[in-house]
Amino acid sequence: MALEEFSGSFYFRQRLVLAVLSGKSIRISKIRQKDEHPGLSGYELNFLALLAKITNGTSWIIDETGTKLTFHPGLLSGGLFEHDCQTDRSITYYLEALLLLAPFTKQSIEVIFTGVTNDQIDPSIDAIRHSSLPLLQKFLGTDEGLELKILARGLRPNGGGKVRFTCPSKLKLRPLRNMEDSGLIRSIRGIAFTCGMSPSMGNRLGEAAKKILKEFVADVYCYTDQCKSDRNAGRSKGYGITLIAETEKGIRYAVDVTSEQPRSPDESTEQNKTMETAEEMGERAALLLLEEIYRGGCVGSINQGLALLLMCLGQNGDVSKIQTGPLSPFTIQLLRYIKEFFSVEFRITADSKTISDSPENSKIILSCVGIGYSNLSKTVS
Amino acid sequence: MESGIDDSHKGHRKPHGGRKAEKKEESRLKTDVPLQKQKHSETAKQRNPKAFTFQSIVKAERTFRRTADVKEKKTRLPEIDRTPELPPPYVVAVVGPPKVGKTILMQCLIKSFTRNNINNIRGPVTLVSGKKRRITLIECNNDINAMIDVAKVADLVLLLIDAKFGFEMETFEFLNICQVHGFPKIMGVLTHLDMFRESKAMQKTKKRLKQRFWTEIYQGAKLFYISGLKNGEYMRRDVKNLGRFISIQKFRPLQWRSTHPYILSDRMEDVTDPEKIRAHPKQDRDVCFYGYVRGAQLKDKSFVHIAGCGDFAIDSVTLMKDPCPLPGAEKKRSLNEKEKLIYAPLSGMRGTTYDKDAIYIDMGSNYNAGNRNAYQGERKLTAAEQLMETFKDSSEMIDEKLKTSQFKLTSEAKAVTGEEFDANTKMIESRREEVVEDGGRRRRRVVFDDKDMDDGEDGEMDDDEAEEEDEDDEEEMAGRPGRMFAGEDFEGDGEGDFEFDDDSEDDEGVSSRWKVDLKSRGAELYSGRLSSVDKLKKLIYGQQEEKNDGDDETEILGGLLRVVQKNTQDMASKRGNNMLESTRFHSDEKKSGGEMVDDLRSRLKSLFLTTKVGEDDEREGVKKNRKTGEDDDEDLYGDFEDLEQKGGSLFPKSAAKEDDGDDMDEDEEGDEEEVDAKEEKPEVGKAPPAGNENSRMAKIMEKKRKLKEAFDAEFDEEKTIGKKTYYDTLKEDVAHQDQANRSEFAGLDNEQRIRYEGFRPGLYVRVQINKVPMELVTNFDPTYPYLIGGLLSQEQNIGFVQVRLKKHRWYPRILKNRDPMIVSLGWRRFQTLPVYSTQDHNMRNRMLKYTPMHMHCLASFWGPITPQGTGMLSVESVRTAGQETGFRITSTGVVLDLNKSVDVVKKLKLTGEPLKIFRKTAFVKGMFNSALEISRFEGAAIRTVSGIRGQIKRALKEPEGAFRATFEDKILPSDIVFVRTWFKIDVPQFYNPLTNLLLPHEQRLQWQGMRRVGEIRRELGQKTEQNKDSFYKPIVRKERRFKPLIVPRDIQSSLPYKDKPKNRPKKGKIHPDMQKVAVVLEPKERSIGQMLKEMEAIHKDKATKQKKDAAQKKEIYVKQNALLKEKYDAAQRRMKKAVCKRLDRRQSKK
Repeated sequence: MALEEFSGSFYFRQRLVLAVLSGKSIRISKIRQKDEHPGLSGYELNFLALLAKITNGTSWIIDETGTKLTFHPGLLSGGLFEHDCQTDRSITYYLEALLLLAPFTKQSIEVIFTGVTNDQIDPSIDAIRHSSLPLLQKFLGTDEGLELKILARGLRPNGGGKVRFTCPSKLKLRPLRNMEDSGLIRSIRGIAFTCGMSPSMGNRLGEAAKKILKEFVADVYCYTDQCKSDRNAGRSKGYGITLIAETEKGIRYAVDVTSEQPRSPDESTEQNKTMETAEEMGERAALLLLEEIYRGGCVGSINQGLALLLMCLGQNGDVSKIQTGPLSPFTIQLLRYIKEFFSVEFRITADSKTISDSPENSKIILSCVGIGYSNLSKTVS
Repeated sequence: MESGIDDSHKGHRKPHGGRKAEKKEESRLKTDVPLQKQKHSETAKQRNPKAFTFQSIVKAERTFRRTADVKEKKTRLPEIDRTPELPPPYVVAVVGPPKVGKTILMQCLIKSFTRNNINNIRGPVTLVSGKKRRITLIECNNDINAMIDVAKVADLVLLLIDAKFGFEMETFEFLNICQVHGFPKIMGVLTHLDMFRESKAMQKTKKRLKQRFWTEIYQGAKLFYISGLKNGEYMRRDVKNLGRFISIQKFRPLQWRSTHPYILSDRMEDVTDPEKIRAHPKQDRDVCFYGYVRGAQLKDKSFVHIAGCGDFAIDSVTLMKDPCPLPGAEKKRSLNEKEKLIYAPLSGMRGTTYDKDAIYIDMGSNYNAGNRNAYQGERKLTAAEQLMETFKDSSEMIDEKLKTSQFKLTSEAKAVTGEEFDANTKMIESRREEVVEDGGRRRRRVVFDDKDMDDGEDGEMDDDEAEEEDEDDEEEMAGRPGRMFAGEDFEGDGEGDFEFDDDSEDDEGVSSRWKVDLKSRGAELYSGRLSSVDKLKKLIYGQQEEKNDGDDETEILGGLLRVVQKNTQDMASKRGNNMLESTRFHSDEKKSGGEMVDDLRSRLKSLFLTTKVGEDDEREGVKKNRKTGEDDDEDLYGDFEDLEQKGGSLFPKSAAKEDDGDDMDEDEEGDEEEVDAKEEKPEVGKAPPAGNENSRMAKIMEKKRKLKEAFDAEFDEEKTIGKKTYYDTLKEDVAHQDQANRSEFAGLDNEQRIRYEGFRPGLYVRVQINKVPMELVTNFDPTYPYLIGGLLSQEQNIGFVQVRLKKHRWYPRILKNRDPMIVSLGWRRFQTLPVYSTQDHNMRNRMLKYTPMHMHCLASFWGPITPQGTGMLSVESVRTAGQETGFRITSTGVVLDLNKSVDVVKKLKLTGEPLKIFRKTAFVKGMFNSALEISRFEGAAIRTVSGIRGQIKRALKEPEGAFRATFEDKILPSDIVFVRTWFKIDVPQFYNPLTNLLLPHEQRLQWQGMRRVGEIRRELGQKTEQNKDSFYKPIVRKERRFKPLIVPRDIQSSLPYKDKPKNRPKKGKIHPDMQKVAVVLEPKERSIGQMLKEMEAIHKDKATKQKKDAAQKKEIYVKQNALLKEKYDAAQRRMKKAVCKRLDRRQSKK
């Protein structure tokens, strides 16, 4: 069969996930060809290892320079397994991809990830838990067996977080409907965590965020998750906050802020000087949340990709429709790849309602026809 | 469902005139029954229904339950109706064995529908059969390959049966194929009925055939009788009736077909460059197929399977003009002659057709270029022929002609010759190139090919230019220093947006420029908005050519605070397309957050739900928010005040909003109060001016209605939900989705719809497929269906398919494991090697050597990934019947599982013999070859043939491969020890798609593929190799003789006497005197004996009594003795004491 050709390591995850879903083989060349560390990075190889665990029959070839990858996907098998995510990227880097694949496995998936739960590159584990999972549930039609449990938090540089993710496998996804009006923000919840630090840091984070958010809505509450280093705080210290806003229609926006963490244990002393105070971080999180709310739409910016891809994989000929705010670069690229892999183009229209309401912050509506993707791995009897 | 048929049924109208009515009238008059008397003929129940209302609870319950059951049985899972508004022609296949009259039937049907005579039918014939229906007639030949393909595409099958001959194997084979692949509608047609001489025999045959047909399909399946031939045609009335039934047939959607697009190709063109073919006649060809899209939406660039040829990727799909369109929408009773169109390109029934890059002129079958002069005198030339003549007449080459030809734009203008025109165009071309250099921009190359010189092309070009300019503008903006509101990019250049970040002073100038005409531009906002969406579209999909460039991210839309361009640009330039990937919508600015909130406070507030929104719409709420936004405390209290004021009007926000308060916006606060007052006492209301009265009342009523609705929605919710059954909600869901599916793209033009949806069913398309084997073209045979089946994602791949399979009950033999089998699955036909297995209770898949006789089993084979639940069929061979006899369908099944590996095992027993036996431990040899092997089996359960169980312990050092094992009992040296293991079976990766369309016609019927081992042996005259040791031989066993039991002396000595071996005389050597003799007593002797017995008993009794008495006496005696002894002892003691005293005194006196 024909190979889809790509170059560069950018959007590595998207390409592989789509390759697995569509069953098309891909070839990625020129991976960091001119970089000082050429070839696939550790976390990308680790991601390939994860794919090998959840699929059956996947094979790939990396040439001797490490800059060219040929990938032949197998069928998704799922089941129970563990995966060590290392500390290069957060667990959510792997989890986000797994969210797209998990509904289509042979057996329902149960995976224990170890690694970094909160960092500054990827969305935090709380953001995934509280905003992505409810969205996935809409496609699955049930929340039975869909769970993300944070057993321990882990921060850079040493990681040590532990997360259990379970997801049922489905034969078909439901089309997405009634996602054209997000409604107004009803409540805001925050989860401030501290790992091996004074619990007052969490309170300070929460208070600072609350101070700003109280002005907009009365229903603001901040939970503190104090992780003790001998139990569930992983192997590094730090703190952070995830804020989740929920609209009256149950749509959730999530943002998160984590204290600066050195990428390796050696840097730690130097980094401490430039650290923000807890108050500053809380405020930043609140402002980020306000920005996210301002962007609006029926799906938060981190979940746009999830929503759109699963919409495209809906039942044959069924139209799914969703209103979004501005599309993130990640989503834009994903839309291109969706067209490439599944020949599905989204119809993009301006949301006339929001234009008349608030012209400078109008929304767009994306709609598409499902390709009738069905879970080919699942055994029927 | 069929849209062409009116679903509303008209009530039956009694005939008032005509023969029937007259007859009835006559009979009524004859009997002369007055109307009153007629009543008596009714039953009592009819006459007096009240007397029969309700008598028994049980009966009522039963009837109720029955009706409920019937109703429940009728319910079906609601499905979304996916038939397009303009469905493709339904495929009507004419199927039957040879010489039953298929061709004649097709000709007659075509003639009756369109008044056209086709002498030589080749390939499918599409025709308009009614106002809203088209059909594609296709004849199926006798090749089982064609039968399978036809069964996969046919919507309606006309199954022709020769009544004189009866059913033939092909008929039943075809029916079984149909059953597996979705079961289209089937109508039987009995022909050759005129061959019967006696009508009675005919009647009997008809009945017999009908019964058999019904058991095969369903009771009451339609069976037509075609009474006979007349002038080589069937009776007009029969054909007309059949035609009528065809055109009212309703079709149910079939699972496979409604999810997969497919095309039954009308015709095929080879579009390879003729020069290349001349150079390399055997090179792969580029081929175009034409046909209606059926089933689901066909996507460009998707994978397809050409049945009988292989898998290919579509190169391009082009929409074509429908060659056989339905008549317009105007209402009339029937079609006129012009609308009865027919399109059969392979049979020569088509007019001039315009292709993407060619024009085809049909010359009809009579046209002969060579001897046209002979015809000229006799008849007028048709339009097509005239056209052809003009081409033929020319003696010059076409480019020479072009040079000398002239044309005038107007009648007065100077004629321009071809050469002059050429010169002009060249000039234009060069000018264009200059422009390119000036601008220094990237341009799409304009191609001056003939095919691109369409009318639309020029316009498109202009558009492109315009777009380029737009892009330039954007780039300039992006390059502008400073940051602005990300929304602005989104909205494009035409809009006024304010920016709030004033980090650098340079921005001020730019931004103020934007601020100046903020208002004036506001008016154009709406149109500007639309264009921004267009830009987004272009950003996403427009630059597909450079898909892999990270630079795409230069123009990023949205974001609240910043221009992402610069950031991403930097990143891109730094690291190219190797950036860090994250779903986060990165926000880099930390400082401006607070300012942003200040700027947007009011707007942001409108996005939050505050308690006061009530019945106003958001904007009202926003206003209030803004007013009170200054200090928070007041805001809070304000809310409560509002609540109290409005009282009852606090309804769920959503309900109020759904009601759409457009007219309510206009209401002032005061107005509302008035309304409230009126609600309380409506009679008292003042009479406003008469003109306003009505509208005011209407408003009030409207408002009241809304209040009521809101109230109901809140408080009666449970009730309404309670009424709704689960089924209702399901149906509602489906209806909503259906509505969404139909309405979402309905307003768009065709081109856009195709972009979003793909080529929907009903469109006529041209599918170009490149690199097709040249044999497909050279061995083209229109009697075979050319089926192009679309594949969904992943279905282009190959893996292990597990099916639940059952041997067909009509196939005489059982199927052997790993014997080649020709399978029809999905669109494909292929040969493969299945491995049969059955599932044990512990879910183990145990291999079977043969399929069970009458049971299902599992079969795993290497084949194409096909969705679970798809039907599967296997045939013994695809060679035409005649060479083979009997029923060719070997098995049927359904796909259960797809995987990239299989887990089928077979039992493997490893045997060994005891090397040395201790008590319960034994050393076993011969089971394994090395200690390593044994280490894998430590702890495994072993058993001897006699049933003694044991366990493998450890390997021995000597000899290699022996091990120590323990058993529950001592084993014998002659015992065979075995361990039961499961050995994983490899399923052979053999997948050979059938390529019958590539074979020359004579080979098609001979193709055999891989043969069974048995077949090869038979051909070579070899016998099956047999292991001599495996033969059964008569078992000869010696009778075992056991030695007598000898107990050692020392054991003997310690045994109790009764267990000791006695020195009994040997058996058979007892003296006759010693043998017991039966004693028979005389009555006297017996009575003496009796007497003695009784006396003995009495004596015994006496003795026991005496014994008892003696014991008692003895007891008393002992007691008395003891007493006496005590007394005696005491007296002794006293005496001794006294003596001692006296002696003591005596001594003391001394």
